[in-house]
Amino acid sequence: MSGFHKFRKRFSRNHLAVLGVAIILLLLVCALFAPWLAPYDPIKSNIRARLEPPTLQHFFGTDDLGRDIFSRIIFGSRISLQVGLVAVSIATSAGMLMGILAGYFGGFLDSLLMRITDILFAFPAVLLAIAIMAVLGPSTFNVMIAVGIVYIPIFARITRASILVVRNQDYVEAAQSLGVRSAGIIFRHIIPNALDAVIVQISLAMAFAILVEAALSFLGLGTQPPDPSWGSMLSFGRQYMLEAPWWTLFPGLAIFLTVFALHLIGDGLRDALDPKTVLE
Amino acid sequence: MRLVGQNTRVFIVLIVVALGFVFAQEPKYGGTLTVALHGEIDTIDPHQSVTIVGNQVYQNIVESLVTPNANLDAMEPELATDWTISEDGLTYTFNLRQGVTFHNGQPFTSADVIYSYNRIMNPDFPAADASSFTMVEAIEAPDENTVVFKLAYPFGAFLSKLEQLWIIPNDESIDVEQNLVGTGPFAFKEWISGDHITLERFANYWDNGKPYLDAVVYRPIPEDATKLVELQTGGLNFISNVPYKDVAKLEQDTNLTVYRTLGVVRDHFGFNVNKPPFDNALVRQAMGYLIDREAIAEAIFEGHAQPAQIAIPESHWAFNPAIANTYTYDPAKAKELLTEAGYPDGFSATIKVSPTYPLEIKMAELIAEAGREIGVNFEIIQLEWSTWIDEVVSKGDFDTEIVLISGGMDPDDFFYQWHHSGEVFNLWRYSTPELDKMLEDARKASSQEERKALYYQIQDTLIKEAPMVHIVYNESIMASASNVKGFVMTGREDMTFKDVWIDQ
Repeated sequence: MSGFHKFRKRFSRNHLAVLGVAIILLLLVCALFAPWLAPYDPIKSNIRARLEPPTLQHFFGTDDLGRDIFSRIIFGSRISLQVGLVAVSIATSAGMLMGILAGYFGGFLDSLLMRITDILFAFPAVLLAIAIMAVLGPSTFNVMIAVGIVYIPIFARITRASILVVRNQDYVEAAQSLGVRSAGIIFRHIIPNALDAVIVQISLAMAFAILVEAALSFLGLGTQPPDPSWGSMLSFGRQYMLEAPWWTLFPGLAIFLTVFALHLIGDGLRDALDPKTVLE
Repeated sequence: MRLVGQNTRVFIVLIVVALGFVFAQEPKYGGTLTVALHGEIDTIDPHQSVTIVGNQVYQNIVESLVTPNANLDAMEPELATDWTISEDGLTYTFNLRQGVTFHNGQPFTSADVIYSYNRIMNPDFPAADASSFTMVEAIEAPDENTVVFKLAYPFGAFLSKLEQLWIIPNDESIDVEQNLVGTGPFAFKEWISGDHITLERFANYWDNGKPYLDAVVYRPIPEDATKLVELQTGGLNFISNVPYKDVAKLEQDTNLTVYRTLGVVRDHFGFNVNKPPFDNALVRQAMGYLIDREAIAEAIFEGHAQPAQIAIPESHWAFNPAIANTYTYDPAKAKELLTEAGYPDGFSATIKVSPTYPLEIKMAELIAEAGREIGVNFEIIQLEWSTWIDEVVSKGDFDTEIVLISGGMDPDDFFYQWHHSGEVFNLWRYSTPELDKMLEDARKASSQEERKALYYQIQDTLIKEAPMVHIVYNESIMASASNVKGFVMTGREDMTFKDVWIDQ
């Protein structure tokens, strides 16, 4: 049985993880086909239809400017996924590079890079993201950069730890004694064997990125109105929590389901990739 | 006999009712008023504070020579009992109230007025309102109970500006920012930053018998929902800035009293006239036609607002009726003006707003939507409040902005500091020698007729040149527990508690 087949078998046995994948696929469909799926223009106001409860015309009701919340959530999935993907690519690429350099070469470079991650770790994650946003200025793109930077040390640490384990394996020593250059060893022998932990972390990092985007938009630092971010919908809707609970309920559910799904996937990946898990 | 009996009974009932009425209206002593502030105050120092909340606190601790009446159209005696103005309008002589003491026991004299004035005018001191007194040439104290102001030129609004001369005792050793001492009805007790400010009843207050409350406690509560719940459950008995959507609900609650006035609180859409395309008056006028003021009043204020054309309220004596209804919602007209200005395909620009003023963000969204219809692409940028002030007010780094402005009594208050060259509050950087001259002449003109004519011209200019276009006048709304009596709301956001008492 090849490695991938084994992985797939292990993963698909975990029904919750499959549910997570299904939710994320649904979200992807929403994001890709938003203009066709959304019944209304997400930023078009309609004063006559303000604060309407959920009906057949407006599945999730309308907000105070009469905008359709269902349409806004569908379009909001684009922002959430975009932020999740871009932020995580920034964090994984930069974090892995740091982790590989630190873990493989060790010595002074290791100490230097790890002290930098210590500094970044010293700040609470959301606070650091807020500080970066304050410097960069509010916009969705800057949220991606901020979340990316916040997650760099996490990926750096995880990568370094796996590299340290792999580096001392016999096959690496063998390659070294055969005179294979460092780059070759890193790319052919080390990275493929150190990826498991990073892959698990990616799904968790995406969940974090989506949550932070919501939090920053809630604070007015993220996605700017009238663009429909789930977080900013929560922020504006909370003043109407008693009169129009649907305005906060549905974006809240969207955030919850997405983050939940990503965590399920993360758990599933961890179990499937962990050789210690016994395959029954 | 029977007839007499009935008359007597009626008489007794009348007496009881009358007595009940008298007793009900007789203020009772005691109790603590717990007040929600909309945010944390900047400083307790009345000469430095620039925030509405700061003013709401210190106006109960310190007093001025004169104070505006509730309608904000005339000045009444406070620490001065009366005054005379010379024929030429250059000399103001004030007779000071006698027998007044400060909270620290020091008697109030003319030396305190001069000390307070010099503190504000000290060039090294960051006073908020020094520009109110630039026309004062000299201040003299012929004796303990008299103060004379000599002006360089007649200034019709001088009395109203004197409200800014808050009187503190002539004592350098008092740290005003830590322990404000005044002559007001309440004495400063403590300020725990972020938690509360406590004022205590001043027993030796000059206005006999007042105040009625034992103490006033202010708590900064920016979160609307928290504030409302605390008012309903008794944790607070006075709040300001009631959210518009909750007014109807609170008015139905018999345990609460709601206070509403349509005053001088107003929203505008302002343009950086140094930056294209807003250097073109036609473009700025076009923006005036992009604002659906009725829809904004309805959707954002639940009807608690009125369309506005200019800063000064329509009920003011200096309001120019000729400008009423100039700018209406008319995107076609806006498009026409843009074409005439050379932007037939529209343009892109930013609107800077702050989450401190969430309603203004909604206005920006509606304006941006109207703009899209005619090719104008507005990007909304929310900035944290201090960043907003830095970028918009200090650096002039913006295309357009929307923010709330409050305050003003004399017409000078509505125009000079907002539109004269070089003034800090001239956010839009619109400045011409003609407008400067009109603003200066209007200050110097002595008769109300003459001033009115000049302010009419100023309003004409501002409507045509449109460095900013107005959106709505907002109602100010406060609420208290229904047993809180005697509060009088002004058109500004004043919270003076000298006459307030609790029926308990």
